Parts: sequence; C-alpha cells; structure tokens
Amino acid sequence: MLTLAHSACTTSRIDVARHATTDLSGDSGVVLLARKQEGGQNTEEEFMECLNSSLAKMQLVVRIYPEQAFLDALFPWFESRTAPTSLEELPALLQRPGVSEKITEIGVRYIVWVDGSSERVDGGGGMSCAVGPGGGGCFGFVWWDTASVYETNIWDLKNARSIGAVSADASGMSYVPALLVPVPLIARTQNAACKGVAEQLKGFFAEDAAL
Amino acid sequence: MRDTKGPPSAIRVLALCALIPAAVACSTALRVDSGFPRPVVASLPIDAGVYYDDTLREYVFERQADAKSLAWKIEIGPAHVRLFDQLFHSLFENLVHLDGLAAGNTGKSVGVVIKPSIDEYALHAPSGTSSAFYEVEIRYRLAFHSPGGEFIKHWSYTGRGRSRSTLFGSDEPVQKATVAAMRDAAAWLVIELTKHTDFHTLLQAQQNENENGKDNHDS
Repeated sequence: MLTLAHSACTTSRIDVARHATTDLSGDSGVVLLARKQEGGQNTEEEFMECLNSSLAKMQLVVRIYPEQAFLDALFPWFESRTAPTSLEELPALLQRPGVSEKITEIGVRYIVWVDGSSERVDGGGGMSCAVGPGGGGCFGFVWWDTASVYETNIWDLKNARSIGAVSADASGMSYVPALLVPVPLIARTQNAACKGVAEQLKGFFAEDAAL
Repeated sequence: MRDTKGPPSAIRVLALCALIPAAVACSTALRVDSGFPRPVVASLPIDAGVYYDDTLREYVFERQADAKSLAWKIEIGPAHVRLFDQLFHSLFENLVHLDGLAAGNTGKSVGVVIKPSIDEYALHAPSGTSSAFYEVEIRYRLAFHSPGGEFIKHWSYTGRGRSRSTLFGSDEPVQKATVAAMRDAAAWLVIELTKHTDFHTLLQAQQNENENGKDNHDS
C-alpha cells in the first residue's frame, strides 16, 4: 500500500507491508520500542511521544504499554546490548528464566520496533539582525531541507513472528524570510512521518484489522 | 553531506555561556539520581558478600571547562551503589553487605566477596564527536575475593550510553547517557554471571589452582 501526501512544504511517503493478521481477541498490549545501538537510540524522543500519543487517541483494540515501563519490567533483556535484533533471536530470549512469565504478566503481545530519525540535509541563505536606540530588526532569508526517515517492524511475541512493517519517508523545505521580523515557515517532516506511521499502525490494531 | 538537526553544539555552548553572568564560570553540577529496576534473572545458589569502598560510594567525575565543553561535576557514586545492590540482590540467593574484603572477620557466612569499582568515566560532548549525541563510557572492575579476603580474579568491562543533545541544557542528556551506560554495563554483567550456574565452583577451582589469581576476564 502506498500513500502519498502533499502539503505546502512537506512531501511524505508511507509504505506498509503485512505478513500476518493481528489477533485482537482478549486483552493484548502493544509496546513501541525505539531501536538502540551503542547504548542509545537514533530515534528522537519527540517522535516516540508523537507516535504514542497519536495511537492513544485512536480507537485501538489493544492497550499501549509505556516504553520505559516495559524496559524496566524486562530489564536487562531489551537494552541496546541484549535486545533481539532479529526474530531468530526471540525464542532464545523468551526461554530465559522469568522472561516469558513477565511478558505474560504485563500483558504485552506485540512489539513495534521504531528506528530512524530526522536530519537536515541541506541549507543556505543568511540573515543579519541589529538593535539600536530606535528599535531593531532582521533582514535576510534562510532555508534548509529536512528529511525524516522512519521504519517500524511489528513482532508478535506469542508466536515469535513478524506481523508487518510500516515505513515513512518525509521531506520538506523550511524558510525563514525576514523583513524587520523573521517569519519562520517550518516544514514539519517529523510530524508528517509520525502521523503517517500512526495511521497505518492503526490498521494493525484497530477493530477492522483483518487482512 | 548530512547535518544533524539544530544548531551546532559549539554555538549552543557559547549561547548558554552568554546567558550566564560573566562573573560566574560556565559549569554544570549533576547528581545521577535514577533508580534501577530489578533484573529478570534466576538467582545463583551463592551466598555472596559485597563491599562498596568509599571510592565507589563517593565517586565524582570532574572536568574543567575548555574551548569545546562546559566544566562538569557529576556525582555517580550513590547511583552505582543502588544499581549494584539491585543487581546482586537478584543475582545471588543471599547477599550480605560487608565493611571490608574479609567476610570471615565479621562472622557472616559467604562463599565469595565481590568488590565493584569504577576505573574511568568518560564524557564526550557533541562538539567533540561531531555528532548530535552526548556519549558516556564507564569502565568497571569487578573483583572477586575469597571469604578470607584473598584476591581470586577480576573482570573488566565497559558500559556505553548516549543521548541526543537538546537545544537548551546539557544536564538532562548527560544524565540520560550516564544512566544508559550504567544499564548497558549491568546488562553485560547479568549475561556473564548467568552464563555459569556453577559460578561459585569455578571461583573456588580458580582459587585453588591459581595461587596468583591473575586470570582476567574482559568485556
């Protein structure tokens, strides 16, 4: 499935792949986890907050489990050093003493792995500002391009299989023209990617999520 | 070539300093106050003693300001005592806190005495790494002693953590990077200790066979 969305300053592309249906019977939980490498995550916390809050506003059949609470409950098995990087590693993790029991206890059935970030890829222009006794102001023009690339993978912990994946690629140009007063016209690529991914994830966890 | 979002870190440092009166040095004091969860592990059937010396309890990282970075004073000793307590209480069936390396003098029965310490704490600011992240590396040394206090062996390992810089304020990302490094190191320790359910026997064998006790195990 391919969705193209245009706004004044932002272009976004969302790709969705479904590998299996989600089982929405019972009281299942889903947790969104940022992929970590070398002790940290590339994905901005604002993106994770946006994704969590966007999904929380949707009529999902599953509960959203807080990321930090999940990491603490399963400590240390989802830290950057220990988290499974592929589905093949999942069975060995689930066989560790107490891990499956803890996952069952907190009621999390699905993990949505989130990776990616927003970066400034180009820019230019200039602006100068001055302040004097009679007032102040700025003059000039600054612009920059931002690219937001994110990827999510949905795992079913119960069956140790992949349910699907959603990726977003948003880009846009921001401008700040200034004639006395700077007027920022910001391309919200991260927000566009967040909304696009959340909308597609809803398709996995809402009432009409059948394949 | 891609740049990370936001202004360069050097500019941020200068901007922050500009906001502070010239008479005050540009420095940040930080106390790592995070709590740590109990690990999900099966306890090893060992009665262990743990000794935290004052160097660990009061460990403070201090660095003077330079052209690229603020001055830092980061208090991490108490947080490490909390972390090691959480780990060892879960990893060992019984844990006894000791006032020294020799448990035999206290009348407390333990199979092994553990003394954790911090060899080095390193902080890398975004301005020094040309990245958008504060990076922290903590090198640890975990020494194992017999109940009588004789050194058996030690493990050296490193925890790494990083956190994205923010436009204003560097204490929060440094705090997060430090906690991430501590959790990373804890993960390594849990993996290594739970690899060997006969850990105590191995230690005793090593003590008997290697009088010098110089066999090291590094991450």
